[in-house]
Amino acid sequence: MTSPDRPKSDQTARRHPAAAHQGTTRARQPAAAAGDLILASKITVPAVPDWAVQRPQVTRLISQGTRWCPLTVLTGSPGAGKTMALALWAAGETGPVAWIALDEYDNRPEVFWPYVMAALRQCGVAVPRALSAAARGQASEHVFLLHLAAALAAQDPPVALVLDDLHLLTEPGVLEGLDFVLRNAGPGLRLAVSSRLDPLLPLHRYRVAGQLTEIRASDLAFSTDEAGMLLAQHGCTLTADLVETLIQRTEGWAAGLRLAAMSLAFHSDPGQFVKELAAEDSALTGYLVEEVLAAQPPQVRDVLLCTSILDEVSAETAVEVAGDEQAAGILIALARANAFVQSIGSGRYRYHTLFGEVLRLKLRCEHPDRIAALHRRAARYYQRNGLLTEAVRHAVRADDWPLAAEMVIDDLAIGQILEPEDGRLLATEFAGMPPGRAWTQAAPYLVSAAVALSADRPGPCAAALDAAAGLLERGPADRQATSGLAAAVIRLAACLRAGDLAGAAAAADRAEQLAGQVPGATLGRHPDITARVLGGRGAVELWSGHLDQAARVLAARACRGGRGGRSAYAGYLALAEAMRGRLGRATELAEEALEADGVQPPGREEDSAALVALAWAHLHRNELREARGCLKQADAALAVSPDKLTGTVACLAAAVAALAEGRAAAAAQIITRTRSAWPAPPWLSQQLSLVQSRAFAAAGDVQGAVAAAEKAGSDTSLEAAVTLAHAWAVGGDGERAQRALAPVLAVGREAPDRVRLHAWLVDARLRYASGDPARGRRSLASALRLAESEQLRLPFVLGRSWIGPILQREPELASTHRCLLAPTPYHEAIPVLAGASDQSPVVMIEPLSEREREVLRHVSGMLNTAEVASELYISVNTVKTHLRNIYRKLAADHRGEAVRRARQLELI
Amino acid sequence: MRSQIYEITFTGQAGTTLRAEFDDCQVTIGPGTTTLRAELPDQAALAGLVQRITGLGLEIVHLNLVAPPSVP
Repeated sequence: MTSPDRPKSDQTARRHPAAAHQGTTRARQPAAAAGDLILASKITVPAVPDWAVQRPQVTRLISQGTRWCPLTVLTGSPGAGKTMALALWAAGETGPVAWIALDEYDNRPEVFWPYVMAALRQCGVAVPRALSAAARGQASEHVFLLHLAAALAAQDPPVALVLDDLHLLTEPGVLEGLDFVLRNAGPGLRLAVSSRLDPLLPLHRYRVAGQLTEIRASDLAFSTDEAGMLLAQHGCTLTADLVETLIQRTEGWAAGLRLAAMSLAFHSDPGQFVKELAAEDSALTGYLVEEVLAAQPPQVRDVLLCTSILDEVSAETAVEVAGDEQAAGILIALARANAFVQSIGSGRYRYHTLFGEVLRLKLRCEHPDRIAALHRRAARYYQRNGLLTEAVRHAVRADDWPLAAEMVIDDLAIGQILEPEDGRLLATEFAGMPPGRAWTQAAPYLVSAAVALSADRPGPCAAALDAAAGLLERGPADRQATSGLAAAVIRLAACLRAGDLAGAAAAADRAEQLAGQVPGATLGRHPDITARVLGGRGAVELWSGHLDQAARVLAARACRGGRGGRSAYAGYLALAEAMRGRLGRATELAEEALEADGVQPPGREEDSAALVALAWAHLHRNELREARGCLKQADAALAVSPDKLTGTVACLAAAVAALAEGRAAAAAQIITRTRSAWPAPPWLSQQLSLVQSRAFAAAGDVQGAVAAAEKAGSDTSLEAAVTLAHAWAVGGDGERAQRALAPVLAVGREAPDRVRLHAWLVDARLRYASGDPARGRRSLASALRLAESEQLRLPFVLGRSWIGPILQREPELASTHRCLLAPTPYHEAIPVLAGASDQSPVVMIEPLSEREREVLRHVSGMLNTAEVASELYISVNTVKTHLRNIYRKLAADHRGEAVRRARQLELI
Repeated sequence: MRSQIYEITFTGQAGTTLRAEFDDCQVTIGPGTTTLRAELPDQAALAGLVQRITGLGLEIVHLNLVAPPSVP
């Protein structure tokens, strides 16, 4: 028997009782991690349809094969009945069966492995979440495959993984990975695949080792009895020798038999039909389909031909495309009557591949002039119903590129091309767009620009934008706002990528202005574009140094959400908060962004910004090792997807880290190198100068430090003024330093906290140096107080040379801010009062979060970090972060103390 | 890489409909078979043509490279 090559049944399809049993006895995990774009229909074991003929012989072959061999391969031409055979076998299996219906998009590791994980979870195999995160990020990495193989090897009873249409996987990386997992999963994994060609796995090796079961076309061929049953289903009865003739002619080919059966049902003289078939020299497929079509009334034929252009037909689309009110009824009747129009649930139907192909050929033969019009009709229908990718696909097939491009612009979907988040890329639909052609509308040029930018080709992007600009004014009035908006968004993305801040700012302005002109209802239907415009504005503000504004805009963008751009720019928000000094919030946001579920490939600009934000936070808490680790990861991400602006901040962080380690010369070098690489925009340039000033000061070059601080604009910027004062203070010139500091102290609370902290520190230094310890102590205390909430340890580490001796003389100050100073080189300075640690009341700065309490509970149960991570289904790094926060909040140095204090406070 | 002429024969005589799929080849109908003759630029094109044939459920029985006429 046959089935459509991929019988996609919906979730509510009936299952064989044995399979249902399996569902209840095993704990079910959600089929897909939130955010994975996994189509549930692809990983559902297809239900066995009513018209399927039971084939015990074939089912037995598969059972034997999977019991004894790790690899079972079913090969055969289209319509040989491979998928149905597997479905019949799966229905009778008691062990877990994972099913993946492959298509041509799955030919990439980052798409294939998540489907494998989802399918495994669907059938009840416990797959730890840490593993699934790896599948998305570094799918090709050996480590992930090792873990997967290990997890599968432990399966008892073994899992059967069915891969339908394996011939669509040609990517060597994917196939090698599959081979590796199969070899190393031992008895825990059984692979059963169907393919039209011998799959590209190393079959010979498995064959020689006796680990391969091959089920080929001759095994799948229908026997006389089975053919008799199939014919009976269609209400035909033939004599034994006629059935024999039929089998001989079709060679037992399932599709051929079913097509013949369909014709026989209508034929007045079945015997005659079979004799003619036997004598007929025609190629079987073409002949049989023609016979089936010939038996249908002209209206039905027309509906079949018209709807053959669609991948999936529903009652509505049938009516729309065929232009016939009764098309819906015809479709449903056909589905009930034969196996070539197959229902895939939710009122949708598919034609069997073979049948559909011949229909399309017939259409091309008989009515070639109607094809483009049919595709256009389909395109407009899909667009009206919000299915943009399908709409574009049909417009492209009608060879109507302007229409396809216009649909993207009208739907405000240009963002989807710029930064594709969906596994099915909209950009690839436009891959075939002829590059050199001169278009008369702006839309194709805009799409072409977006495609070029997403492929990292700024030159062609700019050229296309210019060409579009000329045509924009001449376009129809109602389209101007949307086209202009698309153009502005593309230009914004291009400028940000190139680090052209002025251009980006102008584009952001234009985009906001045009967004105001687009009707609100349209914007509401497509929230991505608003998110993108806000994100662009936020990025511009960030790089211009307006940190507060940037944080506000980017936070508003995050609330808007929308499917597009969910984690785009989230890294920038983390970076903005980090540079504002709100380290806790920055860490939260950065970790959210990095763990964000999403199908985007690793190393996009957003990830690098989040990593740099994390590095910044660690750095300012004096967690240098973690900071260096994050910076290294950020460098790797930037190498893949360069972002000049984020890269500059990464260099800033590296320079400050060098300073913290006492390597002032290295810090100065980093700054000089960054400067020469690229002319940074004013604010970033200023930040570079400030760090340079501190580096010079640390190296003892006071003149250089003063010069750098002055270059950074010490008259206009408070930060620069403080740095200048610091430079003078290091040089011992108290008067000049005091003068530089005065305006900052005068501003008082209006200055941002981080600036005030530095100002108080410089003031304290000056007071102590000039012999006024009382005021010095007050300033130092103010600085310490400001640093407490975010645990800003770095300024005190940088000033260790003069702060250290002072703390020796001021034990109360040291012990009050014990937890702030403890992990720094001041540990020795803090007096240990005998017995005090046991009796002193445990003060909690912040209450522990629920998650942290969970972690602490596990830690108190003597689990190590890795064990806690796997218990809670989070990564080891997240556990470490939680522990750090716990130590901070409980003022503890290590686990034992943290647990003790938590018990004291009755938290666990 | 010079393009070369291949001939592929499959069982069954292709009707008008199936012939539409191979309108880029020279189609010859024989006794119970159909032969396609096409000038293909490389191996990938050959593999593609073979896939189109098998994709329609047709059975290939013969495939050969037509020797180019010797250049004087």
